[in-house]
Amino acid sequence: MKSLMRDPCGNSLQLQLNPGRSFWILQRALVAADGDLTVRRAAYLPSRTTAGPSTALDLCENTSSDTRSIWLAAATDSHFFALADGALDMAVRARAFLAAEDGVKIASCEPVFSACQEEPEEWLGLSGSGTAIISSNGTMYQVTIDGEYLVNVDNVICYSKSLSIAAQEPKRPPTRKMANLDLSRIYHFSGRGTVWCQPNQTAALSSLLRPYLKRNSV
Amino acid sequence: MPASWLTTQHLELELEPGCALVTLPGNLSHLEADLHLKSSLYGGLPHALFRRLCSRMPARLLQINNPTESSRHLGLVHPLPGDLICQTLADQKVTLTQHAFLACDLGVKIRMQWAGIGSVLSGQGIFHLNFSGSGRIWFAGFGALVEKNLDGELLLDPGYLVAFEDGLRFLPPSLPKLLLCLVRGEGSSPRLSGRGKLYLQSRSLRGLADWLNNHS
Repeated sequence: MKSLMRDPCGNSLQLQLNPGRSFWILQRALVAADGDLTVRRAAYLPSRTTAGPSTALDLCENTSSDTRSIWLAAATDSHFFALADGALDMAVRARAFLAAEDGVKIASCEPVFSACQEEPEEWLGLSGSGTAIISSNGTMYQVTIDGEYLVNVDNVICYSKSLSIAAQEPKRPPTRKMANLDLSRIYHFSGRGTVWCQPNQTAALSSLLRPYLKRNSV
Repeated sequence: MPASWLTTQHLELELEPGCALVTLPGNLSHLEADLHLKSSLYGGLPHALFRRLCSRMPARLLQINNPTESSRHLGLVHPLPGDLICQTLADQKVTLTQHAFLACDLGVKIRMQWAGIGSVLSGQGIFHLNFSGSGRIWFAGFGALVEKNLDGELLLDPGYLVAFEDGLRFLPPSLPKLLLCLVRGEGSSPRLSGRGKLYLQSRSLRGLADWLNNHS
């Protein structure tokens, strides 16, 4: 990969592939590619959740002798972020994953937040070396953890696997339940690492919109 | 009232030792594990129930205390994508519309107050959610927030109104307009009058919902 470039609107991403390089791309994320690039369905990661969709990945290869471009977009108004080159070992929400260099191994994960009984999201494990690109709903922010943190699962899109994760221990469950703070959505992260979060939760916006929507459009 | 815009869609705060913050449960993004969370009928049971009945704000709010000896870090998010703003109240009062509230310092009082006959007749509710006292208050808009200093009258779509200061009041519609509204069953655009600052948002939930409804 030569460079990353966002378009002026910030909602699509142009990647430039050096000759001989290839990129894994989430199937729905590919907007366009230069005509002499080879794009083929290369992987199909089955769902690990009961109702979650499977994840289909395309492999885009640059077999030409020049640099070529591909354009990617996410499903929502998005902020893009390239996870660091080098050794990757992280879990990414499948909906947030966009693309990764061919050196990155991608595998489907068991549902990460097991206490969230209705966890509908697929998670992918990324390992190996190279760059991975993720997107967030709204401007992404990082929570650097060196110690112990409580994090709302709905905001998490990616985290380092060096972190230990546990369902929030029921130290003070009565007060939290009374506060309508859904205990199952708060997870306890400990150790050293980074959690990448998104500010906007589609479910929260949806619940605010619902009273104004016609019944058949909900 | 000094106000400062925040450049991100989430709020990162350092909570000083012994300090506390009040927010809604769903707004919590992350916090250091030794901060103490407490459910609170903030302002007392009557005010909490009144607040619950007259606005969509829950009776129980989330109080985050820092019982440690050093400052602790936490992050909050707002369900609507848009600008965040922090205002510092010094024995002042500000009215927020539905969904605008993000968080406030513990010293800020949250009360439902009589909105005035103008608000009732123009369809803007009998009670408004007022924040008063001293301390910081954070609120958010849907889309960009626009600050306007008003000295006079302003005709507006209430779906775009986020907050306004105490010096502003809704004007009652004139009698012919009121009769026309009653006959046709339609609302009229309300007017804010007085002197003070107000905040408008660039998008409205109803506008987005109408757009979605047209495409369903």
